[in-house]
Amino acid sequence: MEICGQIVSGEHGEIFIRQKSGETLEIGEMLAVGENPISIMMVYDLTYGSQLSQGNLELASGMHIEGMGAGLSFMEENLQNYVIAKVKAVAYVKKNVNGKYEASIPKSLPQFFSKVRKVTSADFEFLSDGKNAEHSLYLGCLRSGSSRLKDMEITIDGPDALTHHILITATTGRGKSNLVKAMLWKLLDKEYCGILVLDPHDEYFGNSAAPGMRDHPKAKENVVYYSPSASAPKGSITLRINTKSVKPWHFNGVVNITDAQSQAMHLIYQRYRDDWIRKMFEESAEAASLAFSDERTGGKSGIEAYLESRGVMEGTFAALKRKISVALDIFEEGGKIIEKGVFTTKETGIGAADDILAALESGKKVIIDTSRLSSYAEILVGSIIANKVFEKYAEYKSAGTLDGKPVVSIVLEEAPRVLGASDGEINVFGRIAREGRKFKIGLIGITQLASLIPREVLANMNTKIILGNEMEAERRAIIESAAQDLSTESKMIASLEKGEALVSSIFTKFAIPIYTPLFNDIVKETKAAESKQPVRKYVGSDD
Amino acid sequence: MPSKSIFDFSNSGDAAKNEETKEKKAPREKHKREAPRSAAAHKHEISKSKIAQPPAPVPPKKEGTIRFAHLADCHLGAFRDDTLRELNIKAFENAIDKSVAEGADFIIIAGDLFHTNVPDMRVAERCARKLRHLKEKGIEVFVLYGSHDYSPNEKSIIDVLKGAGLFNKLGGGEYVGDKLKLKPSEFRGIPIIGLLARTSGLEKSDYEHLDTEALEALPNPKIFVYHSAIAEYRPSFLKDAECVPLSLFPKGFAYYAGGHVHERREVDERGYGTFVFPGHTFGADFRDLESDAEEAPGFYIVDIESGAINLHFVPVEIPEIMLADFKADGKGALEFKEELQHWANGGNFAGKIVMLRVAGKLASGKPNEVELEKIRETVLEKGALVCVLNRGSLSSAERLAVQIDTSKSKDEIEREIIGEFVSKASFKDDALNGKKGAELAISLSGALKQEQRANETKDTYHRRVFGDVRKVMDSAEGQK
Amino acid sequence: MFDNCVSKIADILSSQSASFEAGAPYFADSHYKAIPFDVSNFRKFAPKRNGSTLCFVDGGNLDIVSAPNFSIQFLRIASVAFKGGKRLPLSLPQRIESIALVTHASDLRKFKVQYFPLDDGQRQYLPQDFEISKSSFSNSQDELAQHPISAAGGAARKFAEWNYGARIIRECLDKGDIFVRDGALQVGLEGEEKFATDAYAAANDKGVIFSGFAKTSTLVTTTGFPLTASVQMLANKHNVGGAWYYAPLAENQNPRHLGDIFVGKFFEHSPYAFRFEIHNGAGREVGAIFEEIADNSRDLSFPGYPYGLVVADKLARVEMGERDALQARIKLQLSRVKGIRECIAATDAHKIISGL
Ligand SMILES: Nc1ncnc2c1ncn2[C@@H]1O[C@H](COP(=O)(O)OP(=O)(O)OP(=O)(O)O)[C@@H](O)[C@H]1O
Ligand SMILES: [Mg+2]
Ligand SMILES: [Mn+2]
Repeated sequence: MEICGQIVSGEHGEIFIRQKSGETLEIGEMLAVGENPISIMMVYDLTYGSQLSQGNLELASGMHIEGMGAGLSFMEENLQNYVIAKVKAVAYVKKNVNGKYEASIPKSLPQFFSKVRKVTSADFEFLSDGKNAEHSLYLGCLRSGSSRLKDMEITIDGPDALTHHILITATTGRGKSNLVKAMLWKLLDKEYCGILVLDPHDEYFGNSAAPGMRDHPKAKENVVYYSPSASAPKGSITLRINTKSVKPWHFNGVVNITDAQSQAMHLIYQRYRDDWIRKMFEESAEAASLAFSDERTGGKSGIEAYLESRGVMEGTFAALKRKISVALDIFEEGGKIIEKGVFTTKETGIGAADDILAALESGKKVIIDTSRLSSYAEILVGSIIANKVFEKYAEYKSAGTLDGKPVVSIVLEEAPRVLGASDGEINVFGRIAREGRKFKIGLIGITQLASLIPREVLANMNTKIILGNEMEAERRAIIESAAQDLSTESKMIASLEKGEALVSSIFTKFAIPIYTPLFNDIVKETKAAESKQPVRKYVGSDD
Repeated sequence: MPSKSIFDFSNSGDAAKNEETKEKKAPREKHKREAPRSAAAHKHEISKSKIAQPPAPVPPKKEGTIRFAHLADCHLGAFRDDTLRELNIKAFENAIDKSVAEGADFIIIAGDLFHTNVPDMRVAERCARKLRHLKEKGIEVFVLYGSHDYSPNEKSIIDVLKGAGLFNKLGGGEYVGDKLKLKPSEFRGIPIIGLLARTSGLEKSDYEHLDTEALEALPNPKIFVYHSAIAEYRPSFLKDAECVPLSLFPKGFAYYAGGHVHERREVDERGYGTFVFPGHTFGADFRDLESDAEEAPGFYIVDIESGAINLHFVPVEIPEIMLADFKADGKGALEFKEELQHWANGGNFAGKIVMLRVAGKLASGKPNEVELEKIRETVLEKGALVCVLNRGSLSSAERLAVQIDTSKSKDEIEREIIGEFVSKASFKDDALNGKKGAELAISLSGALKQEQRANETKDTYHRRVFGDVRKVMDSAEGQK
Repeated sequence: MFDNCVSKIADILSSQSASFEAGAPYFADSHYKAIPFDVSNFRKFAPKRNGSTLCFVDGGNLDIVSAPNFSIQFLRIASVAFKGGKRLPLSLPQRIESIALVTHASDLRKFKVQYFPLDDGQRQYLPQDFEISKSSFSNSQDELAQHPISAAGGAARKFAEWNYGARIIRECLDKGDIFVRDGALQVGLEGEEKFATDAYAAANDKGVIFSGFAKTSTLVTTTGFPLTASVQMLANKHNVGGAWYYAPLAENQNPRHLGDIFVGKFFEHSPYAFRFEIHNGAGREVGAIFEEIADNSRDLSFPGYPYGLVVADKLARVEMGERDALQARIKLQLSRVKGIRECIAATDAHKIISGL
């Protein structure tokens, strides 16, 4: 056992450890006392300690730097000056006679003056004790300060964590996307969850320049990739959503719609059902192409006249149509319907939403490249699918068949866009955040600005993966809503390097420091382990 | 018996589901009469002749134009009913005749020419005759295996006819390493490439390994023939079908001649070309016939004219199809029977295909007391070519009133209940009746009841269950 | 007002310092014959010999619980040794810890001192229990004068220091090694001389240099100026730079003070000069001894003062915090002694008052 320090004083939550000379303790480093039971502690602050008074030290320094200190040095520097680490005990682990671990939140202090050592992977065996590997959710490897315990993979229970939502926060470039990539990669061959990724940077599927989910050996079976781009890689499905899949309520909390417009929308829907959007554009396109005003309708399309007969104010329809037009990227020019985005009134994309739902329901991972979509359209696409999943799962729940279904989780980049405080109606994502777990639906929110997410929603995101963040206000927002008391970890969070994170979850006994390897390295590793492809035969061709 | 079509009409499906399928199908608004089915009208009929606006006639072929016909999913040999089977063949013959009449230089049949790989010889003979006729006229035919007439381990009628020199078989190629290299056929300098289909969408991995670069390098105009559903165009009735995404297709073909999806569709796809599914020529099951009632099936005449593609849809001539829907909800069996009888007696069915669908829950009495067979007889007497009954969704409020002896084991109770139900029902297919029917039901439910094993992926589980079910079905078929 | 009176004080003091040079070391005791200052008596250090060990000893004691009839003291003697700049572990315990109980002896003119080491194994390093005249601690013969019973704890400590030092010299040091005790070599207490003599004998036997380092000195000059300060000012005045030592200061005939007195400056830039004494200094390579000590006095924590003494002091010091803990434990034990509360109450009223 390598001693790296000794407990010299302190109190619960603030234990002082004198660092052994030659050792270097780091903020975030995990230390341990004892073998069984083990107290696991985490360094959250470091200060200098000295046997000399401040005045003495200053004088000594003065002698040195003012040139009067030739030949002077500290005789036994290690004894006189040293580093004091402030640590807090995070877990108390006992292995009982039948080899089972019992981990608890420490309620007592470790023995005074105990010798302290660095942790080893073995100290964390309790984390994987009794876990169902099939249901695991990979997050990275254990980290102690900046050193990585590569052989200690950190996983949490997937179904639990996913349905109770995950929030991933960091300032830009600290590795949020990298972490999600790693997470998805390891989830690809797990059937317990379907994951929908709304990918505004088109970074998750991969391309020839950067690897992604498509490089996974199971990609063909388990990854579905939608992209609106005609030059998207092979195997991708062109993202096209028929307006028949779009329902009035999908706009809730996505597009700002007035009560009057909402009423008009529902009236149109009642009349035309699935064709309501097509009708809105077609009819007025027809009217426009006639190029003269019709006496009976006073130049209005049939829908307008119909709405007015139902007491909808003049002008409401036009305003509504404009909003829907912008959201869907469908425009009307000179009597023609121009579809610039992924929504179409034509005959394609009819099954898209159903296909995505079906894929999710069978535990696949669906990535939607929304990089070319307007923010509105992206959220609308998400809203349509999320609504579908929600409706379907609610159905399963009432039929009592929800148990056999995989969990569905939705990855949202820049989560405050959809989870942020709004005065209007709560959108489907807000609903999922609040009550999704009853239906086995969860969110994986990614953000730089957790503070923009309402406290209530933040509190509902029961696993927080906190990467580096130098913004104090952001750290505060996260810490205040974390599952563990992280008040002393703020500094540490500020100093996290790329890929380093702290996982605070109601499903972990303590906030676990992790490091998520660079995704490219994970890919390389998997590739190396991959077996040779079988020889293929094209059967049925005899000539 | 070959695999069941993914389009097969489910006799045991409930009314609501069929209703939904209909609703969600994306028909051409203009060709379809717009008349929602109201609950008040107990029955509702659609006759094809009333709704299908005849499409514009095909313009005469111009000088320098290459014209070809594109058919798919003829499913020759489908239907057990003699009349329907004959009508199906006739529709095919009509399509060929029309192709000849329109001056087609060649014909592409994009899969499922036959309903099975080894069809009834009479059917094969009729087809061969027609093909020989084409040969004599010098019209070349290019045929691709479909999902129905392909067999992984036996020869197919397609091989026989090809061997007889009656057509060119598309879909040749081989794997070179990890790449599938397809061998182009050719008609007057136009490359025609086919990717053959396999049962239940297994060709998808061929698409994934397709050497598209080589195909894209071929000179245009060129034609890509395939027999697969395309993910982006998947109609909602093809819910669980394996689909191929567009991105796996080679780009830049003037024409993508599709088959497999029994619904007409033409799409100009940016970066690719024109994708066309002609739909079936007659159909292979009752759902197909129902869609035929709304819109005439047919095929495409395609002109390649200085690189441009012009499409002309040509309907085939088939008898008028009449759809009749009756709802039994809240009625007594006898009352319902009278209502049907009244309709049958007053109808004019001469020369029509009548599709009679009864659904709903009888307030009293049992479904067999409605005596649908008798009604069918009346319809036939009144001149119908064929009367197709769909009564799977007709149920009785009394249906669950079964005496259960709790001293018996679960399996025994199950056998008894199934036995009781089967004895009350009468199916046209005798294999489903009596003790044989009950045994079949029990073995089937046994096969379907299996749970996924711990070490099994979803895919292998599906395959295992599917295989077991097929074994049950095959042996039932074999006993006949 | 305040500034005014301080300024007057400053005037008086400066008139004193102006005349420092006129003076000579002043010794009240007739056993010393002062030698006037002479700038030629400054000496540079000589190169040190290699391989010798430097050993420092210091002690500390603190009254834990006391009453007019007893005093319970905690005492701790510590040593530290260096060789070649590195700490050298000795075979003797580094610290000796003991309780000393002082009570009135049956001869009421005396105190009785008993050692109770915390570790029985350390009894051997402590002196025998002893009795000592109360008059050693009081200049007055007045019966009513305070007999600070707790002051006897100092004797217990001093004797223990000598005793422990002698053991170290015998068991751990060799010829040429230097032994440094904290404080001058003068003995004052009744019975102390016996211990000093034993220690010197040990040093003589082994060829060890026995020295004393006084961190404070009350010696003054005939003009009333501090001795060490005067020597420094003399050096400054005559531009004697660097590290140096000064001797002789006096002819020492005091039988209770067997050491030669030096004043030394151990680090050039240090503002401090210290009194340093060597037993049997004559005939020794004094310059080399000074260099040896100087070499140990280059620690940044207190340049010019031996690091070994800093360490020994720290090791031996009994902290107030420690005292409180000990006190609590002792009082708990004592609570079963009848009348003890009343005894303690006789002297601890000041505590209560200062706590008000
Ligand atoms: N674990 C890691 N180890 C080393 N480098 C990493 C790691 N994670 C990320 N990086 C590097 O940091 C860069 C930014 O990472 P990433 O895109 O994941 O950050 P982000 O937090 O998602 O940023 P943004 O806020 O811009 O979306 C990556 O290009 C990668 O090279
Ligand atoms: Mg990112
Ligand atoms: Mn087919």
